[in-house]
Amino acid sequence: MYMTAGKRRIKDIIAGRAMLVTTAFSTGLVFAIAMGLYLRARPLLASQPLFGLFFGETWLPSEGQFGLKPFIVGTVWVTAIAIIIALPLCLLTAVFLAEYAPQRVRSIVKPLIDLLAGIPSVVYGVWGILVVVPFIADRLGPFAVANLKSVPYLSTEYSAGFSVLAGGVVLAIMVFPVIISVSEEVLRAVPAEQREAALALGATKFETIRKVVIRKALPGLLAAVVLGVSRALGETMAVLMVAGNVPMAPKSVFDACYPLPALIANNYGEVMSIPMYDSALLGSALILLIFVLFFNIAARTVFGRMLREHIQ
Amino acid sequence: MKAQIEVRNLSLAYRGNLALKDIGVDIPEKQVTAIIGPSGCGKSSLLRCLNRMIDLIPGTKVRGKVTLDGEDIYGSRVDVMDLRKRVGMICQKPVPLPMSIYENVAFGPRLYGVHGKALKHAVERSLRSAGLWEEVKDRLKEPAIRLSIGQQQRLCLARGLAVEPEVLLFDEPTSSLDPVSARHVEQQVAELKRDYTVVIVTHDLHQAKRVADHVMFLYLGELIENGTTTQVFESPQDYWTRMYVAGAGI
Ligand SMILES: Nc1ncnc2c1ncn2[C@@H]1O[C@H](COP(=O)(O)OP(=O)(O)O)[C@@H](O)[C@H]1O
Ligand SMILES: [Mg+2]
Repeated sequence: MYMTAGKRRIKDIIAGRAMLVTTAFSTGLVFAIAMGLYLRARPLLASQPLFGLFFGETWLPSEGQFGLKPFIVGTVWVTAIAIIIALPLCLLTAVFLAEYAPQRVRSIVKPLIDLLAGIPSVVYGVWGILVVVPFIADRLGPFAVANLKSVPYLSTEYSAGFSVLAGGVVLAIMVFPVIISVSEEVLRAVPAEQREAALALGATKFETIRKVVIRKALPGLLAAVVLGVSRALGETMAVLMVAGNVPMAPKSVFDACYPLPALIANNYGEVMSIPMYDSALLGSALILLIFVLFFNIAARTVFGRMLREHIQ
Repeated sequence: MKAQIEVRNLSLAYRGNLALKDIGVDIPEKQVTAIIGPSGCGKSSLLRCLNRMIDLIPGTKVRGKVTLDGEDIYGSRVDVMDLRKRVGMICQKPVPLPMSIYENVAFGPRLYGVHGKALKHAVERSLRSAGLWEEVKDRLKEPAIRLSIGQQQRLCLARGLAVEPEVLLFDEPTSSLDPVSARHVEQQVAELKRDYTVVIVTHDLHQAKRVADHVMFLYLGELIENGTTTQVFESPQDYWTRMYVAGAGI
């Protein structure tokens, strides 16, 4: 028996609706969380000018001062350093795996990299404390003290190791797997004809990769980076363990810092007797959420348009 | 008439499967040579042996000899990149590179260090030779992907011409085009033989008859017949050639 057209159409409609509902649910969740945070943060937002919150330098909850600038700046620094370290390394690794590595090497290395993603972040944190922090305190820090006196962002008088740099390094390693994995898939999805077209003109393999394959893969590579940065912005545990958690905006990568997620995780549920404290913490959670959303949207629209107009 | 490419005892195997058997043929300079034959007979394979694009397919084994201007292209001293600059290739499906129209054509010359005014001239000259200049001269900065398929194919031709090759290989260059664009590309190909040695694979016998000076007929990986277009089409010597040519009603 053939199914009647009516029955098939009903199936079609049900399938479509079901997918709509699940999609609406997950998008709705983002708004629900944002709304919840906003409602809890409102007492503080209402009592203080927004400008003071964002750009206030002083964090003294017991005196009603809730300047979030140190935390915002700390988050931006740590994330930026993580991306500066991770991006070139990930891209090179992904290119090697996708273009140069023999099948056998790839089949061993890829699962290992994916395994990195499964390691709990507290383990990265411990590793950071045992390896990265001492290395910065004993080697890089003294080197900077002696040689980088006049270099902005790198000069320091002393570093205990717990620093923006330590946070950035640990974070970079934590975003490796996702950026490498996605980039590698994207590079491998570039059609063989594209490579052949360039090679047939006498381009070397490297020229082909640099000028054609990577260009063609750019939108996907961008998606990989957006994923990586989003993860980095919100990553809490490992960074909290190595960043030093001093509520002052860092001036050098060797300074300690206190990123937003660490602030929330360290303090929520502790000193709730202080008025507005809980409002301030949930307000910073809202800021973090808006950061990630804004970054995603900006990356997709701005870069997306650039790519469409000039390349694809 | 001088042979620019000489193929001698050329055999090719894909992972043990023989695709070309003992091919021997001369490809004359500044003439159009057409390779005809049924699908799967090894036309593309033969073409890819002529600029060593065959090297890119893992597991292939080439035996025999191909010379370009007397020099063995499979010799150990040959620079493959340089060979591919001299022997350009235009494929069946146009493949615009992910960049602007201008940059597509400039891609090859840039590799060889051409820049500034010289590059601009090279791009314009190539687009003119490919018969595309008038259509794109005001939109050179647009992504190449926005061109129609027929225009894309002529863009690929321009891109190939821009590196100033000596030989051009075409693999069914019109088979993915509509009849009007196909005719357009075909005309460009026919004009190219003043300056280039052209080898064109085609399954369209009418096209072979229109553009080619020489025709080689491949069947099951063997070179069955080879001669001037008139010889092959008017008085084919071999039974299979006769059948194949007759099938097309020529
Ligand atoms: N990449 C490849 N791997 C294995 N066999 C191939 C490959 N390309 C072509 N062949 C085989 O070689 C023979 C000739 O193919 P091809 O040169 O593409 O023929 P044509 O271009 O005349 O249609 C066919 O039997 C085909 O199956
Ligand atoms: Mg073919």
